[in-house]
Amino acid sequence: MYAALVAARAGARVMLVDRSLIGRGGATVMAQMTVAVALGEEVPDEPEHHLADTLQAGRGLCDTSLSQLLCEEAPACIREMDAWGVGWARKDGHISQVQAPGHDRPRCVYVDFVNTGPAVSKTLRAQLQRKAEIQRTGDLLVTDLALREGVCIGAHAVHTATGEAVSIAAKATIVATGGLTRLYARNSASINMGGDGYALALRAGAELVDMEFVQFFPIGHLAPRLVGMDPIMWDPFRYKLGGRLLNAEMREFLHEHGRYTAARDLATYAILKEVAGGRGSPHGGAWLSFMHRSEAELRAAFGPVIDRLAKNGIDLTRQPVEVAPIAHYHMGGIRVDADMRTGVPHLFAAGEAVGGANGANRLSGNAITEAFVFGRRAGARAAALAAKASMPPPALPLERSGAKQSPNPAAEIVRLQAVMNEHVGPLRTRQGLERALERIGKLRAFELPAPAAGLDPEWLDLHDLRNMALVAECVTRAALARTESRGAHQREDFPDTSNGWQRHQTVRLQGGGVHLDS
Amino acid sequence: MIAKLKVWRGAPGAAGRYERYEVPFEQGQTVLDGLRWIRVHIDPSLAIRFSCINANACKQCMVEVDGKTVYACTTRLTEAEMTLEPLANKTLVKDLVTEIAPPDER
Repeated sequence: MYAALVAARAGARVMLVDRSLIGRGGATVMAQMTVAVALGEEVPDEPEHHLADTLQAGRGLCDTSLSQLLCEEAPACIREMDAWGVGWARKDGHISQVQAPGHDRPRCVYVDFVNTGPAVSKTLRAQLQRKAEIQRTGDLLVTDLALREGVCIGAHAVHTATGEAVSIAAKATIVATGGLTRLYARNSASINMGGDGYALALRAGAELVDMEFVQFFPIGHLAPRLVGMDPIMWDPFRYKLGGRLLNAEMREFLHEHGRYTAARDLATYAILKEVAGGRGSPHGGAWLSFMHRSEAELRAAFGPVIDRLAKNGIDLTRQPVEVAPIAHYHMGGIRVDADMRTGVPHLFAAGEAVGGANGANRLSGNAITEAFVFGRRAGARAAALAAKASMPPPALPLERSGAKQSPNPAAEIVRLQAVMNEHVGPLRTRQGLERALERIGKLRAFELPAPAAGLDPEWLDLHDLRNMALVAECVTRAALARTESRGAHQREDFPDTSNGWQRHQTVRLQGGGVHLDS
Repeated sequence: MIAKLKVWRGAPGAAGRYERYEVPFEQGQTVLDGLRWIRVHIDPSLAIRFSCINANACKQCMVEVDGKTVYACTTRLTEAEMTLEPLANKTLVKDLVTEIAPPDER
């Protein structure tokens, strides 16, 4: 959305296409947490300090040019969002900034109460509606990028409600489809996060980078069953109220002393080790307790959310909840330069779909920031390219020769998610990864058929399964090859971080197969 | 526990029908959980619309349950039979899916 706005401002005519509804189906609308930016409103701060924390969290693997762009351009984006009326929480006349784990000072802005993502989405949607140059089309699923002589000339899409094939001609194309966390059984994703953009870019000839680094958010909600809330919601609670993370013996095992300080990769690892050691909570996680906080304190910090919890039968003054790691974000993605250009001419990427800025472990708060900054950069560069390019002819429709698969594709997706969670999750071994590859290989071997007329849910599942299996193979192959542990990639058979592995791995498609460059 | 769901099935321009499904559930599970279970275990051709699964953030899973418009992701399953229908005031796409995008985003 940010990319579309900036491109339109630069004079481009923009088509914004979403497989779901515009601004309501991706990850941004679900974000309930904070946005990292060196505004210096709370305490003095500079982008260089934000960058230092980002690089530190990335465990030596950040693409510095991207991280630098992220930190330097963040303040301008956050101020622009402020001018558009997003409603960053304020106190004493300035924008409020809280300290999140991994940051050296209070740096993270937010919208109360746990409303950051919805407010950001709503603000961007309102801006989009004011621009006549932007045509917005939902329920349009891009199945493949269109190429001519290796140059991206637009996209092939299917209108999901009717099954009609649509060709889109474009002088420049930006992939902003988010990440891949839907690959995992336990995820905080929307169903659109199946790695579509990675699969599109791969099939178009682009390279992906750092695919093995999937961030598990350590304290995703586990039990009791909670509806109408994102499972990541305990993050803002911990910013404001601390909270105590406890094992089955009701002992703090992270030495946080009621504060919220442990980095995500370390906290994830510690919780899983408690569970493996038989000290987990009943559903296989850890306890998170706010029982040392009074009703008044809870209400002052999260008023309406406390009511929503009550509807779920949860009273934080009387009971701890159970939390456990949950797939949340993907550090890897499409390889781009600092102008968001992929390896395919006229194809750009933005947001979480971009790999490299966050290295082996993303600093909390950098996801929405990169959605803004990379979108802004991609929109500007794509518009500049489009201004001097001539319009390509629309691509010919794709011939679809595949046949409908007999097994239930919705069930196949669930099985793939279980395999990924078990073997390619936060703790990995060679045996597990090889078993996963074997299972994924069986799923990979089919051609996508043409959809039936009208809305065809089975075809949609097949489409998703095809992309998910391809992207799952990329993650698994990269994880198998990296014989060390670093950040979000933890190998039980190679527990140490190795200096020799302070390098990126890339994947590309070659002869239909996934080729890994280590 | 078993939830009994009576689900309207059909496409524009043809007479619809109700299908009955029995869905095993645990206390706290939702109508959306039940519909997703049906797609995985019984009939993947059942059309439903949702993105965010459980967070009530995407606001796409609106359906009518016993004649009342609700979000499927926050409505709990019960052992009493529930009748699920597409939104009556929106154009039907298929089964429980209706056209809910703003007119200038189609």
